[in-house]
Amino acid sequence: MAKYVVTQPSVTLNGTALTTNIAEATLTLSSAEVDVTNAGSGGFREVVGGLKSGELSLTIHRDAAAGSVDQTITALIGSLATAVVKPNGGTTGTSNNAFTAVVLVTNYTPVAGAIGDLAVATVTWPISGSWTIGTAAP
Amino acid sequence: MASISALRQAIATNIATINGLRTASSIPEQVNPPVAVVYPAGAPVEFHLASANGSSQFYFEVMVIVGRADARTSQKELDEYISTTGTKSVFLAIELDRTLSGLAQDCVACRVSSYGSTEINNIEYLAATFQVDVIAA
Repeated sequence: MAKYVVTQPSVTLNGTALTTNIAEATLTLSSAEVDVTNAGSGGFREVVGGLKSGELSLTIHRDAAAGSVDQTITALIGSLATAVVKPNGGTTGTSNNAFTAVVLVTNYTPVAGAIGDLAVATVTWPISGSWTIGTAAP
Repeated sequence: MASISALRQAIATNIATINGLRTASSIPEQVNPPVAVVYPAGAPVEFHLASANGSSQFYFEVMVIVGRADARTSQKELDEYISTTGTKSVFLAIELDRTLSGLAQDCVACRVSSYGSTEINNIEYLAATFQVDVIAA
């Protein structure tokens, strides 16, 4: 895949498209680092992968209209929701993988910002369970 | 993408609710004061505010021009246009319909950035310039 400038990350939550309200999307997939250094490590530190985890961070342009982001997300606080994130547009393919994970919607800030600021909400939600990476439309 | 022409026309339409103030959504050849002229600011558009062209930011200026036959009267007239209250408040008129008839997600009159004499076609006028920010897809 060619290098590209981020202009159109695609994000859906429980099937609801949030894309046109997304200013920034970051999906982090990680593994715990477990130290297994021992007397035979020859003076070097040794590690192995532990539990896998991840989180989804979004900067969202807030919209209070019926059916828009405020209502969609507020209704999910405290719940698990399926997030599908694609880095470069809504069309899934070998050059635009669909990352699917269940996230715990732990927070949202429906009221924030100083006078004159664009109304945005910044959230970080942990992934619960595994994730999948697809090249076909989920 | 929203049409800049349509957005500036919609801002002019809002301002036209002020009785006695002419409006122009493009820069006129000749000025017939009092008039509010809407035009794109120096750096008029910021794209990609949100993903997939979800929104862009548009910057406009509105120059309110009054005659300067009598300095004191002219300043009083311009003061009314830049007030935050009153029937001649351009600030209130711009934000009368912040959706600009559905063209925009929001429209805000941010500030008056200048106030003073200006010369157009060798004639001196008194003018104030409003900065207007519009968010639209």
